[in-house]
Amino acid sequence: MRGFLKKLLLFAAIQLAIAAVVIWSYRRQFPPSQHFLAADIDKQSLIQTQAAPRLIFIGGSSMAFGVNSARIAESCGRHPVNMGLHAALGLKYMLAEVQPHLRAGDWVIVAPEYQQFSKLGGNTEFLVNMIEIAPAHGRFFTREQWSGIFDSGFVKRFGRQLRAVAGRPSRLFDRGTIGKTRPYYRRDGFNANGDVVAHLNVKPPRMSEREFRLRHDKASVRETVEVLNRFADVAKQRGVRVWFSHAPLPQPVFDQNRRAVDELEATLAREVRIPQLDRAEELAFPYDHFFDTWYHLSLRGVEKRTELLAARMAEQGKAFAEGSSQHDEFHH
Amino acid sequence: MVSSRTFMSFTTLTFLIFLVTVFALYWSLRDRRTQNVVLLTASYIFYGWWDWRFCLLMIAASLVDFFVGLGLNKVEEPRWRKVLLTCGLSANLGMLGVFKYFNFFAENFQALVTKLGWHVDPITLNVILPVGISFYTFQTMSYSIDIYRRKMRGTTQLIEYLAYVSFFPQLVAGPIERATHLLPQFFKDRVFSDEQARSGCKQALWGVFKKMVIADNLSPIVDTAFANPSAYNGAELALATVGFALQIYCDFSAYSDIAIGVARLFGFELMRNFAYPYFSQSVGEFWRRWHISLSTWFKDYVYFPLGGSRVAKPRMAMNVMITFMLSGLWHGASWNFIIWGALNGLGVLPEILRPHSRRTAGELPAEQPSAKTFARILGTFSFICVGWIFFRAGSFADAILILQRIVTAFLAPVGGLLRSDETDGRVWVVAALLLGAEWIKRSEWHPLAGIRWPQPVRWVAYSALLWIALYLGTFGSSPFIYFQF
Repeated sequence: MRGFLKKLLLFAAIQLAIAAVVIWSYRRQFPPSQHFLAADIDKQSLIQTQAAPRLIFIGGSSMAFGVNSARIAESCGRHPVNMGLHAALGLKYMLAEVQPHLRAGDWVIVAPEYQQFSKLGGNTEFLVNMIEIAPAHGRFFTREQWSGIFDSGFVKRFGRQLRAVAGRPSRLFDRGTIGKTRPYYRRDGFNANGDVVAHLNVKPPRMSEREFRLRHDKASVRETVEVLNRFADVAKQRGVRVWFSHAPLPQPVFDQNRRAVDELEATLAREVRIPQLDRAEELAFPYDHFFDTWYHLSLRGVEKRTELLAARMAEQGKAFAEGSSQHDEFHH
Repeated sequence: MVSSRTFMSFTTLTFLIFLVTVFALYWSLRDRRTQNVVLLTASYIFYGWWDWRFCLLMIAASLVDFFVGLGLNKVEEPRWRKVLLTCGLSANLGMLGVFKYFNFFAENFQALVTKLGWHVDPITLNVILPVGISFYTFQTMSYSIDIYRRKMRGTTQLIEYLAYVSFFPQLVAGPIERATHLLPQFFKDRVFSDEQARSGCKQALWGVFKKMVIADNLSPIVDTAFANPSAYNGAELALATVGFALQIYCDFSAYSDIAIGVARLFGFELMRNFAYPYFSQSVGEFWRRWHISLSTWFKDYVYFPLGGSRVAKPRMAMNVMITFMLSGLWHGASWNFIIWGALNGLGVLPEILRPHSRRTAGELPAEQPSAKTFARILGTFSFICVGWIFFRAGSFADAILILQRIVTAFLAPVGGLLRSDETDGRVWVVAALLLGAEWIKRSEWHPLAGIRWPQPVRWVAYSALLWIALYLGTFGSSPFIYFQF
């Protein structure tokens, strides 16, 4: 047995050494500190330090690429915290990273992408990517997510790093290849409120995605509803108000999936204990309002969505102010 | 309804950690019985990882046959022996019936009586199919039948027996082991063999490579085409069918390779389950090389009891058809599987019915194949592919549509299917290389066996397989196909 184990360990050590070179080269080329997901470190810092009263935005990249958070927050007299980052992190992560920082008086807009109704636990590869960049953010993962990470996440992530390094062997010893990555897919593509702004003055690249089938099974929708309701309950206990807003979709894509979207919207209206701020239909924009995917808005799209949300939040702000003054009058 | 929980699949990091832990614990013990307890515990953890409640079902299935075995040891009178066996088989088949076939039979019954003009309210059960149930119930049934046939005596050692039924390397998707082969190994003291462990690692590595590089990369192409066959032309559907033939082979044989390899790490030998089936020259030969443990199970426990080949030819033909259709039903509760079974039964019939037909079971041709041999191999593969269409298609109508398009529009350009973002043309090249390697090493169990190269060269080859798997692997997106059976 000793002979077998010796050889096995030697073989494993050789493979680990190769793996270490791959990881070293990848990290040199794409320093984690400059990665798109590293913006979550800044967002965590922002949510802990932003002054009250706050308006917190939750979502994936459709929120990051989709609003002028300052203008919306201003419409209701608040300070913005845009936590939107990446849909592949999953709704569970998005809510979990905000929940500990909720304070009485906060207002929250939750706008999950449509895929959160079929896969709300996120993509394990991206979760691993997140703990590579910010290990402490592993505390926001559920047990199921950790299980998925061990099952496939680490290996999937390593596979991607291997393809990136071995696919361009001439760059093995390069440093900072990330500088060649499109600016809006880097940490410095965000502004201080957490919005991606680097893409706003860039000519939109051709959007290759044209077909989209909204697929969600009842069990996943039920789970998403439960997760949203648990979040709503915690928020209520802490004196936080929450609204639900729909993610944008190109009009043709929306039309193709109209029935499924309507069903989903009706289910959410019926079962989620969070009021809807808008209708899915209102977030169906022409193709030229999108940047490079269905969810990423171009400058025109950002302005249109911002206008819509600002108007709705202004109404809420007004109603709240009237309510408070009535409340005050009542007390006096 | 499908459980949202995840299986502990062989190709996950979780399984690797589990395997290393169990291996270290197992070989740190000297006592055989304690080693068996470790294996038993590990097997139940492995199975319960998915859903612990199904461990109870497996215990129940195991205990029924354990006590039937004990009873058969004591009872001599044939009538009572038959009663005991019938009780055991009924319990096993009852479990399969409830968890796997109830909805199928209920729906077909309802459809039939509706056609006859009566109204029956639909009765279906919302149950999850416990993974591996078809495998372990067949294993426990063969145990009782072999005792009934006096091929062996029922064991009185519960730990060893439970460890045999639940042995984790082959629990979920086989090989379906006979008690006469596997159970005695639990009663032998184990001595670690470097050679056995090395050969186990090699076979497992070969399995991982096939699964990760070929099966999983073919999956998107196959899934896309079979999900919406009307969107593709005959050539594309033919390509998807060949893709599925390669996918299911590389998926299922990979599972068997890993199972056999892992079992060897613990000092156990499992039966060979695949012997290069796509090099067969007849459908009969294919079935002697494909899923051998199931084919021989049906031969021993269904075909022979029906009379096998010792009866008149019409009856023999009927026996073959019944056996193959049941084998189809074993795969899943759907008419498509039954048709698939029937089609293969028809393919086997000429060979069975002709007394002097060519029957090859053991060796593949030693030299390069002649044009005639090659044509026979190609013809057999094509026939098997027609069967795979029914096996894989979402419905009978889809299967017919695919067949129609392949026949009527075979010479259309293959475009759309390969242009999808999710597909990767390299997989076809790797699959061709794999078939080449298998042909060259056809006298061995798998291409990595019996390599006589110097150690550094061998290690470079093993490393290359591992790194190609990591480079091209999709990891975790497709569970093993046979988990669903």
